Amino acid sequence: MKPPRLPWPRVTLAAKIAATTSLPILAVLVVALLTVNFRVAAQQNRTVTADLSRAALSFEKQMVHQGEELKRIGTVVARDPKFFAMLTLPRSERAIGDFHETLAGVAADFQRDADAPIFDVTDEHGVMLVRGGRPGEYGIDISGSNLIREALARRTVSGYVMEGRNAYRVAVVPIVVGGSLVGTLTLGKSVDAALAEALKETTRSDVVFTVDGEITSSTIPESSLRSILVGKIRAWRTGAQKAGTTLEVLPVLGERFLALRGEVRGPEIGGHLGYLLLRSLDQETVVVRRIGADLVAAGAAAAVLAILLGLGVAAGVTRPIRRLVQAANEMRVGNYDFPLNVRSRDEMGRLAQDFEAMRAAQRSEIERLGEIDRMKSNFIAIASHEIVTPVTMIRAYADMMGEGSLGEVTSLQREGLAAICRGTSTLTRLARDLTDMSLIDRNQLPAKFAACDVGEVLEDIAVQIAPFVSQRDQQMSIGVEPGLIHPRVDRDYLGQAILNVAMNAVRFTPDGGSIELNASRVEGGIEVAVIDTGIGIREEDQERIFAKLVELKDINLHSSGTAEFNSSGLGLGLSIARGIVEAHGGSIRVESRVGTGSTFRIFLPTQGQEQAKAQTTATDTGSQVIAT
Amino acid sequence: MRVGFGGLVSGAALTALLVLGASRAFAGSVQGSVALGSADLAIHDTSKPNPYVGQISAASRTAADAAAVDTTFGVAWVADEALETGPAPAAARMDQLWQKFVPRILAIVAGQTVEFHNSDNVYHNIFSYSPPKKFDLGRYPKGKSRSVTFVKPGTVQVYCDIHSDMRADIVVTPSRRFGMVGPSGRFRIDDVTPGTHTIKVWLPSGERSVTVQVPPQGVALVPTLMP
Repeated sequence: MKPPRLPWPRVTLAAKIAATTSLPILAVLVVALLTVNFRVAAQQNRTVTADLSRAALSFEKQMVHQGEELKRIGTVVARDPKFFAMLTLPRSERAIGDFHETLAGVAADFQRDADAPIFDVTDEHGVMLVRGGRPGEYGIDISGSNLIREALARRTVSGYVMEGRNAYRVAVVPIVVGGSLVGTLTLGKSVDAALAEALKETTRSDVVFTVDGEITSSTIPESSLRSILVGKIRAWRTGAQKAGTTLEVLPVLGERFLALRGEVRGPEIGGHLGYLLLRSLDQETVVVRRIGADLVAAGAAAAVLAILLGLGVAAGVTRPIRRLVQAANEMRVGNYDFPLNVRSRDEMGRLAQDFEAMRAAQRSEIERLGEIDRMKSNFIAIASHEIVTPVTMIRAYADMMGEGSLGEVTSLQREGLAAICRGTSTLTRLARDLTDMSLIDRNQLPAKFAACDVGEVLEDIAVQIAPFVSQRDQQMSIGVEPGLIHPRVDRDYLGQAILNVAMNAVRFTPDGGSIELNASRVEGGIEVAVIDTGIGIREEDQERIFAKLVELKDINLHSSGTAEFNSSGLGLGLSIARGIVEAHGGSIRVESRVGTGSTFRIFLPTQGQEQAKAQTTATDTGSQVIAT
Repeated sequence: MRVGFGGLVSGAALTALLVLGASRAFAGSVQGSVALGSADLAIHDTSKPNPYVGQISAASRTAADAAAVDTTFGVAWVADEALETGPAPAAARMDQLWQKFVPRILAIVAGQTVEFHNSDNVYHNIFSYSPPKKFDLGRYPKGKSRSVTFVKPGTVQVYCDIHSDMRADIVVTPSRRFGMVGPSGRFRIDDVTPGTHTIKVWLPSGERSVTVQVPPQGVALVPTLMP
């Protein structure tokens, strides 16, 4: 009986190699990706923060610069005789005629040159003489303010003036002529959207100006973003402190803004001017995210490549191994010709060569053993066949002598002749068994298949063994299901197989035991069961009993009639039974417990036998050699 | 000449210095003094360097020299005299020299003309916003002169729009009855019709006035006018 092919292993070597080659690459890729993403994002955050701080610094410097510039312009204007000459006129002459109109005209000329939307002039007591603000826009009178007081004390100062939603950067300059203070000049420029836009151009940040926390001008267009921002700024203002700048991340509409809030430094009139620089972190990180996406794509491609490479390497390494494994598996079922196709010159090639040589050696050894086996079977077949003829002759003469045909024999001689007859019967049976066995071994059992009622076969056997059963005082029962027609059975051989099993039961069942013969239809076929209450078979012997010439231990000859109890003979009976059953495509097995009894079950499949029968009838009419 | 005193120049001791030079049959003189303050004296203060001189002119003359020839610190006149009706006196002259107006203070009679000469190597301008006479002569170079006739009495501040330190004051008086205030603060007006008169004194620090009784002959002494 040939061993089956082994199933392919679930975790293959190729998978392991592929995993070990590609996993480290994947791990490195993932780590690299995460690291790059994290570090670049952190760097970006730092960069944006630094940018905003620089922007704030730049704005504050710009404010300082603008203050200084206004002071400078104011100083230049205040020193211009065409300007201050109006203010040196004696007080008595100011009441005369067109003093105020002339002064307004002079102021307008200088205001145009100074390009300052605010151009206020007071006298040496701080009394407003002329207003140069845009009509309707700038109306706040700062003549009583600290800024003017400072200027009256001959100090040039700058500051901020808030009027409603408008904010102005102003400088106030004392007008001194010939050592005498004759008035003050206030110059101012709007802190407005135009400035915010200019600032945005240089700082790349959105700019918002606030007066007392309310947005006055902004580079952010009117939108929901801005309205949300207003709320944020109000909330922020409550926790605000005057000095320094504050950085905060403002999440607005799912976008993250880094916001820097600061307040201008310097004297302020009419409110607090604050500013807010905003930059969208998400927009800033667009590039980073794009790099990240590229990295992911590159990583995925590299990962696929790594896996493919791993698989390729694994396939290259394991292909010869797989061929060797397949070849070994084929060897198990007798195929020594599976092509290896391993041509590499490395260790694998060497292994394949060695395998090839080993396989060839084993093949020749197997063939040699097979040849010896065949020779042995042939010898036995010939010898057993040749032995029958002289034994038949001995038997015939012994019978004739026993019957007195060849002269008178004494009773003593008759007993001897009877013993000779028994001996020749045994010899004949042995010879027949050996012949059958050798035929089975060579798959040359000359079976003649035909449809047959298995139940009838079993009943015939019961009749045959009945004398032995009664000699041993055993009980025999028989249960046969009616109509157990098998389409393809050699009636004689099947009978012999069942007889061997049944006689085995008789032999190994003590006197007074019982034997049960059953035949029934089972799933896929017909089963014949022989059940005894005999001595039983040890677990480890249950397979061996079907082997040829087996001798179990503790066998002793014990006779209580023709069928010796516990005697084995040549031990070919079960072996032949199995050979016959297998020649029918069936199987035989035993269930047994020592001291309790044994049950032999012969299974004869009926499925698939119809087609086999059809083939048989079409191609062969006589005896057929079955190949298993 | 350095005017070193910052205090008052007393006029009391000056009565002995009367000089009588009557040009009319019945006419008196007014003689007096004013207390000059630091603002008044500062106009000829040479201790303060002129920011323009030296940069432009290579002349060796100094600002002190310019101040030495100009010793007028103010003008005193009879304010209630009727306007002069006769022919105007010859044109007065004002120079722009060493980045200064010379004289710094000029007194003329209403109707008189002033010729403004540029004697510097640089361009100058002359303009005024004063109600008695507003004018702007524009800018012109050395050697050129332009004239302005002052009809209304009053004080006219004159500036150069190029040089903010330059300043002159022209006192246009209604009549010829005026006199200059010298470094010591003294002034004298001759040929004054006898009677009660208002005397005005213009100084850089402002105007002062006093009423005097002018005798038909002799000198009316005005007590020192304080600011």
